[in-house]
Amino acid sequence: MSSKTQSKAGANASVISKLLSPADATWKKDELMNVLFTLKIVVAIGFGCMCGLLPITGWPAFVGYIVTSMVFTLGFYQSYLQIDEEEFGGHGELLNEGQAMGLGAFALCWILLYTEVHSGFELKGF
Amino acid sequence: MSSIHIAGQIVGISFASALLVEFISWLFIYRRPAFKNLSVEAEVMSAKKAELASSGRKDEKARKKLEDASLKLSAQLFFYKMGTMVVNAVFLMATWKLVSAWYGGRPVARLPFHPPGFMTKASHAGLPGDDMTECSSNFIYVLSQMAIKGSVNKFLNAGATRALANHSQKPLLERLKKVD
Repeated sequence: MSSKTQSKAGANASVISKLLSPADATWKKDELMNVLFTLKIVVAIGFGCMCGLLPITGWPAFVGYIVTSMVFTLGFYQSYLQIDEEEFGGHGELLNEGQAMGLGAFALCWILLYTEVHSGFELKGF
Repeated sequence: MSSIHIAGQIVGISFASALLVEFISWLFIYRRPAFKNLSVEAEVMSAKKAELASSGRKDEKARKKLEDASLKLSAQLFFYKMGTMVVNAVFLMATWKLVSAWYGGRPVARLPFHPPGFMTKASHAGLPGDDMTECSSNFIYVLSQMAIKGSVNKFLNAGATRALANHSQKPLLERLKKVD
């Protein structure tokens, strides 16, 4: 294993151990932002699949996603990680991290599952 | 063949394009020692700015020194940032044309909402008829790019660090405007 791969593996193990023992952890900004980014993507895919399968249609789904994403992120870093948000750029920066990517992932999962399961849509010309 | 298959192909094209962009950026830009040094400088500068902002003291001399160093770094980074932008733009256009050529003119999904006017230009692009809930391949491609590009960039971590991305070129452009 190269030294770069070893250091990346070490860094990942360090982040996982910080997540498992949040009370003892001190976070670097990049590490925290990456964790919040991953959380947003997971929430986006989960919420998108749920909306596509139930189904939930119309603008309430978008509003629901944005609210859910923000509540999950806020709850995660305030209640679980218990970090001081001012050290990492404030609520704005922490809540906005990965928002655009999450929105894209949510919309993609929602549209595709809805099309496949509920809409009765038929592909023509392929 | 179902919509999921077609969408899966489009997402695959998007993913391959994002990987290729990262690889080319790494090959010609990120792995160069000069760029790596600038990257480290940007990290150090970002930490100094954060320290100065959080300390609360109004140290004008330190702030001016940091601003001048930041301007110098912006000038050095300019060509590298332009390079990555050009690579991104070329691949974005190429894959857009590819998706339009292979899947264009036919709806590939149905939207679970009625899109507003500005969104129909993308979601109903090149589709016949008035049913705005029909979704074009281009819209699926746009959503894939939104979801995948940033994720690939972050998880590969090839060289575009957060400090570099946050290092604004705005002060440099404003200084150049004043010179004109």
